[in-house]
Amino acid sequence: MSIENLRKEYENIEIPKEIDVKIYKSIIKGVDFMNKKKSRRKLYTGTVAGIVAGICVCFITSINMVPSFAETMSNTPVIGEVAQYLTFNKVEDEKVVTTIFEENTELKISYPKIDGMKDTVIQDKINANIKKEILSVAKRLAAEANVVKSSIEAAIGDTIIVTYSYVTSVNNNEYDQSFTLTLDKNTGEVLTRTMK
Amino acid sequence: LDDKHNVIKAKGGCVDSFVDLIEARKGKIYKIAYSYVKNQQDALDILQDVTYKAFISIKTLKDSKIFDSWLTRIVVNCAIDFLRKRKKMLYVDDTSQLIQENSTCKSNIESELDLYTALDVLDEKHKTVIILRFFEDYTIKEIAAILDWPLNTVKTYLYRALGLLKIELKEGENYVN
Repeated sequence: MSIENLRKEYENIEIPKEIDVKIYKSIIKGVDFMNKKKSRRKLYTGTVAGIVAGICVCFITSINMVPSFAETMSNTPVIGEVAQYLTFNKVEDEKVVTTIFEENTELKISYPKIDGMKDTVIQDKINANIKKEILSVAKRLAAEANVVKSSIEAAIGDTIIVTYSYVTSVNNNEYDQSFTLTLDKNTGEVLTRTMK
Repeated sequence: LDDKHNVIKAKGGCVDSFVDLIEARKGKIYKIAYSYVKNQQDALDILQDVTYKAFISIKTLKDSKIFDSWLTRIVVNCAIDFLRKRKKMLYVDDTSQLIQENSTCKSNIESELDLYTALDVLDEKHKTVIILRFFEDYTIKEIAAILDWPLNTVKTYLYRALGLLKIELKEGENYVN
């Protein structure tokens, strides 16, 4: 008995007919597995993309809808810079609103001025309109009562909203009167004026 | 030449090319598996396992040239895995396993005799070296690459296996005579 004999026996190992069926079966199993793997991966990336998109939408809406949230975000290092790009009303415009000018007439009246708009003609028109409105109300009030204090707030969106209030005193009683003025940002026209 | 082309195509996910490759090597896979387990059903199970594993992992094969030794490595690993699992089963279910073994032995007894008794004295590693060197005609270098062993380890195992085989064969012959 030698290695040659063993080798002959090895060569003579009979190969069963079922062998092709077995190969076929395992290839089907393999193809199945690969397909499942693919679809699983698709499902996974789909879910992740969905969640990320959801978070982004939440983030963008809250930045634009909730001013205090936007402010907090702009103070955080990395997110703040990203948040700036995602804010539709740029911070630039809002800052401008706080510049308040005082006019020395019989009353001391403050009114806001808008700055930094691209269209300077419209900007001037808006500023002139705000000034005109506030002064006219102040004058009317001055004829009726003593104006003690005045304060002004403004916010910018598609329309510019200016709220201002006066404290008047009649017979030593103090009354608070608030006014809201809205202007079209694009045309500079006064849209509404309301009194509370 | 054709093989090389098929390997590249199979790596890219072509099922037909993969089937061609396996079809051309089915006898080799089956014979190697059979040498370990020594019965048709188990050898076919191993072949099925090898085909499946090769199919789902051919993408990871870096060098198309080494497809054959890569496939051989899968066959050897699957066969050894199979034997280990069967060993564990033996402990769990002693008697039924014995009955099964007896029946398969009887059915194949004529063709298997010498190959069985001879290779049976060897453990998995020695068996692997003998099968690859003398039955599949791989060089020692190629075997070292397939098994990922150092060259000298392969040589040591080969000489020791030959020594063990000769002794066993002689005793066998004496017994027959």
